[in-house]
Amino acid sequence: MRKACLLALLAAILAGSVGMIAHREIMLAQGVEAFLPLAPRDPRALMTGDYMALDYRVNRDIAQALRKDAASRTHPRRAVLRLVAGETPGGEAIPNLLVFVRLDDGSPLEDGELFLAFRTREHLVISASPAFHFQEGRGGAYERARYGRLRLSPSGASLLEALCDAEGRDIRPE
Amino acid sequence: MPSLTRNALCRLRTRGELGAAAWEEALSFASFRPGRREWLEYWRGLLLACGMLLFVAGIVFFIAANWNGMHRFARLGLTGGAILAFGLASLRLGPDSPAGKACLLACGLAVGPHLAVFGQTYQTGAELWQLFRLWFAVLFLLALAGRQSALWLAACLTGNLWGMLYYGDIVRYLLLPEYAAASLAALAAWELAAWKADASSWLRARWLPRLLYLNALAGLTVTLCARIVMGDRFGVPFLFLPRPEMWTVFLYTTACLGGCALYRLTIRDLFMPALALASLASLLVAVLAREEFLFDSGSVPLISLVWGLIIVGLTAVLAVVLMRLQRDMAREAALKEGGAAGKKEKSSPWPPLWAHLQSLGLLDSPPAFPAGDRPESPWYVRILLAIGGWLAALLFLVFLAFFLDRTGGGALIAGSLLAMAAAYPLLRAGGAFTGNLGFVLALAGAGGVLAGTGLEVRRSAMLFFFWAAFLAATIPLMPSAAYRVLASLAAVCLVPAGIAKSFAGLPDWLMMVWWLPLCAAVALCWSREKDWLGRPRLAAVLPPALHGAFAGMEVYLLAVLLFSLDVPSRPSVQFFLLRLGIIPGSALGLLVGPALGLLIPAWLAAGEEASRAASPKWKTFGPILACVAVLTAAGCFVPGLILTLFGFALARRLDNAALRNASGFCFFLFVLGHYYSLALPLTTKSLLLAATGATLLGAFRLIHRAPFFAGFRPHGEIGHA
Repeated sequence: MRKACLLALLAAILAGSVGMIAHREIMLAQGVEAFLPLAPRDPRALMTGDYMALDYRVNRDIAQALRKDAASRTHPRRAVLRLVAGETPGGEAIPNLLVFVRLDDGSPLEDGELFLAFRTREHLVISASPAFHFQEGRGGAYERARYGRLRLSPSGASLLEALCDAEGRDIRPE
Repeated sequence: MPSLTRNALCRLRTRGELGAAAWEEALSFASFRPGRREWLEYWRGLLLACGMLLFVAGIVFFIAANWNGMHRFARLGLTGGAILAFGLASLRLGPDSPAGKACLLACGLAVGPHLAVFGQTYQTGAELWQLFRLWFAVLFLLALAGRQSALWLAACLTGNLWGMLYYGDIVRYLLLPEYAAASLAALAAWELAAWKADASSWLRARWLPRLLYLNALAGLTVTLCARIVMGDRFGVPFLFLPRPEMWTVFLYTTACLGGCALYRLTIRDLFMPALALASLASLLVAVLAREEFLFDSGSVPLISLVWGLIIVGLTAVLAVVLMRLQRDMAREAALKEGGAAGKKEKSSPWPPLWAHLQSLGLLDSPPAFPAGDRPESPWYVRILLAIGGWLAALLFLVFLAFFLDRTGGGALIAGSLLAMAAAYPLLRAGGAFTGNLGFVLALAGAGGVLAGTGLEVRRSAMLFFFWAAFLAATIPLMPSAAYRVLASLAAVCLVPAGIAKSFAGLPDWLMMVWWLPLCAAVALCWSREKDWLGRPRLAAVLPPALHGAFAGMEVYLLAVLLFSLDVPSRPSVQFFLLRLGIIPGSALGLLVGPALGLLIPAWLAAGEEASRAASPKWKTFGPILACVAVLTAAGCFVPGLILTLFGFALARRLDNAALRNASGFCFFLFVLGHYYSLALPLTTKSLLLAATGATLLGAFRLIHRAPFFAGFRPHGEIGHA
């Protein structure tokens, strides 16, 4: 009986692990690809060990909206963003740039709008991944990062796939 | 009646209860004196353990070296595969067997790295505390199903990490009263479950409840002491303790005394009352410090002297109370188990030994173990008293130092000799408190003499020899095993340092003039143990001195390898330096010396064996010579190898598990360090390491199966796995 319990527990752990991996793989394969502009951060805190701390311009928009919305007591946990066409300094187009529209108030999404889930921690807004992990010693290449390339699920969950330069190209250290 | 250990037999020999022949026969009867079969089994076991360790280390380093080139599915598959493998192994071996429990624990622990790889691979912005939350949940479920304390401990640790990371401030989290309350609640639940369980249940193990109690009391003690001393400046938020400290202290004191009574009368675990009393003593010290007891006098020597006496007094009261509790609890336990005492007597290993010795005419009547001996205090009581001893000693040293003239070494030497003289009666008295007090004074005194002579006689190479001679002279004078080990270690290292400094222009191989006779002396001393063990004075001095000498050899070799091998700049040159003939002189001496040290006792033991057995002498001596020659050649490439083998041999001969484990640790370090320093890619180094481990495993298999070793196996055992 006890062995059966342990076997069931082991199966549950592995099934859960496979399920989580499958969910993320589905997001990578089917999620909407979008670019989120990075916000400037203190360069001393930019790269710590084998990851770099990230911030996004949309986080500040969300924080501002939350301050305005403080009296409403609705506690939204998603923001509504729109996919727009942006332009690189070189004149090239970045098709799927995300810009902030409003906090989620329950109203249906319009065309080109997406949810982005966020949470607050000590008055800071955290939406997409606040850290990007890379191989130790390769951090210098990411200093020119200007965008984070994400995959977004319909519920607003995000997965950071890569950091991109001002031209929207993935940064791949040699 | 004490356990049958090698040390117990040696004590009987030293007291004259056993003659030399009876002692040797007792060692053989109890398998403490290894014969051919025991040596073969011992080396086989070491080959297996070291081979497995190096092989696994090589595989781990290989994976680490190629980690970034692996596809994410390969990484996740590797970590997930570890969970699956350990889980299935646990089920196959049985979750209640020791190996099955270890595998189940490994399964639970492997979940953490798997989650970490998952978090690094799919960067969703999940916070670290979320990873530990999930890990805690898995470990909690495994602990419920697995029914072992280690899994509960792992669950506690990951749960704490979850809380610390969520709260954001580790120290403030640990000092939260709510944290202490949660620990006490967990303790209460555990004790209740244990009380309802059978006497042989795994829940009756005391180490986890003790850990929970320590957890709770440590935080509360620090919080209350800081609150008492710092008052309103102490910033940890108290959620439900009121502001007046004395009222809080009164409540806490009552709770501690209640806990003492509970554990004194019901569960009978001395650890809990000992911890509670130590906590109350700390609060008393905090209250005195808050009242600025003597601090406002401004007199440093007076403050340090009186505070030293306060610590002495508090520790003495603590010792008296705990000894009394220990005695009473032991007496009650003995009365309760009165029926079982006879059974214990029958199952004791001593009577068969006495009967054997009497049958050989080596013993007239079984020796009586001294009835009046004070029972040894538990380790936690000794630690508490030792802490008190150290604190008091440091305060007394501050008092003493205040009166020394700071400008000259002469006064420092005089004061230090005074400290050593004061240490002598304390060390003779023994005990956890006085022994540690005396030990600190002796150490400080020896250090002061060395420093004082250094101030008086600057930049002289002879200083090293004087220091070594002084320390060696104090070894028989200071009745402390710990002091003798440290003094011997330091003396052994100071002599070659003095030789190096004195004869800078001479070849390094001259260092062998020190290492060769030292190793030979250590080996010969242990080989002649039966001759000096019967003399109480030598029996007290020699063992710690010899252990210290061996430790000094390990320390010196580590220092030589660290400082003489310039790894980063010219790794290829460093590689060739290890070849025969160009090995650093000091390391060469440490290579040949231990080889000689291995040879001497092996030769003597083989000689005894050959004279007893009817086999030809070449069969006994040949393999020993061959092994030592091969190992000496191999040691040219791994200088630490031969020294750790010397340690392994000593450990088996002395039946000393600590020495064996320490030698194993040094062996692992030396081999890892050697491969790391090679001028090769990391992948190749890791494969070489794994190949070395596989070679050792192959040697293990060879000894198991080869017909040549059949003569060394006991009759009937031919190639058993």
